[in-house]
Amino acid sequence: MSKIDRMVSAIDPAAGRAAPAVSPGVYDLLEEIVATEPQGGRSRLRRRLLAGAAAAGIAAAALIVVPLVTGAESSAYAVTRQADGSITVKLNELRDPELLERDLAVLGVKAKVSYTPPGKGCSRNFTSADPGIPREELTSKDPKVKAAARQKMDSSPSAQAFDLELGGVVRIFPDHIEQGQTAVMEFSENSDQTTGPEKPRVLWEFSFQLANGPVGECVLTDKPGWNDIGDPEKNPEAFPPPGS
Amino acid sequence: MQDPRVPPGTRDRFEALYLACYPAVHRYALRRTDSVDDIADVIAETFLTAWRRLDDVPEGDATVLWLYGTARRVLANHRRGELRRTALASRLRDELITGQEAAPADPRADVVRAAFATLATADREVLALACWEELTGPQIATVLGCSSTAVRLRLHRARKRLARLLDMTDEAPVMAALRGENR
Repeated sequence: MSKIDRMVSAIDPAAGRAAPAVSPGVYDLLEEIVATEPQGGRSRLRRRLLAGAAAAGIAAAALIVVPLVTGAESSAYAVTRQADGSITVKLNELRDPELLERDLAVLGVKAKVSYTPPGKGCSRNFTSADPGIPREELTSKDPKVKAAARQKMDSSPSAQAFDLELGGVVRIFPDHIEQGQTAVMEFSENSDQTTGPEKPRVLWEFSFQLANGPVGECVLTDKPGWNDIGDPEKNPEAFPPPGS
Repeated sequence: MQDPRVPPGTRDRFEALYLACYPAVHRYALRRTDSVDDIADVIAETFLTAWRRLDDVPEGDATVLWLYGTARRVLANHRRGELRRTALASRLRDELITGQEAAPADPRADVVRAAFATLATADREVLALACWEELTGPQIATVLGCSSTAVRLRLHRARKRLARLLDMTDEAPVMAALRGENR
């Protein structure tokens, strides 16, 4: 140890203090932390969803490389109310949207569900509950502007009200849906569901947006950029390694 | 009740690493900030990050280095005024307030402390990791995310700068006092 190092050691602010005890406050903090959203789920995935949303110009859209049709389950979907009050929707097949709307209504969530063929989107008349975030802010080169826009997006009413989890499960948080609001959900699925790094493409897409007031009927419109997933450098998540 | 969002084993692993590394992270924060609120925020944010990114946290001896690296970034954000005051750790905050103790007044150590405080943040950090956390070069490299060679160079420069600063101050009594404390 050099002289200088000894001098620095001698001014260690923690020197001479008792080692921090694992006090009740330390246990409290542990409990508080594990009560928050765990890894993997919300923050990272949500950011990915919302980043995709910006490009699509809707509240939230995702490029998820998980086939929806597993073939293992007979029912088109499963809706479950969880212990924490959230509702999970697991889709197996894109059929019977009205039935799903009805089941969600039973659990207190007013929803408009549409299943669109690949390359098509739903155009509806409604007032979004989210603040408008200019696209140039989201793609800004100034990290501060970009971070602020992301933050605004992450805290938007729609982003608070749902989560997309691994395995294609949509989790809805009814606590974050106000009276008079409708969850507008759109699902789209590629007809070719085989995966592989040699043919990267969008397998399915999902969007979720909260609407204030009445929601118009779905009018199918063309979505030319549907299968455009960018290049592997910019969008590595769309290019999974084999076997993933 | 088992939280359905938490994969089995996740909580156990986090709890084990939290309890094992809490003292180290606490001291890390204590050494680098003055306010009790800041210490609590840095501890809470660091472990919250570990919880959210548990898959990224390495096992074994590398765990605490990962936490130091995370705490360092939390502090850097803090200095830029970007850290939000977390709602967590309110009880811990109270405990820290009651447990607060002033460093013993020592005019000779004050001279070193003052010189150390005038160093650039990067110089202070590399010296602190070496002399307070007592990390080796490769360990510091892991925390800072740079090569061991870069660490050696940075340490060398930081020591030189501090020495130069102390040369301009009243060095003799400082050295004498420290010599008396040699282990």
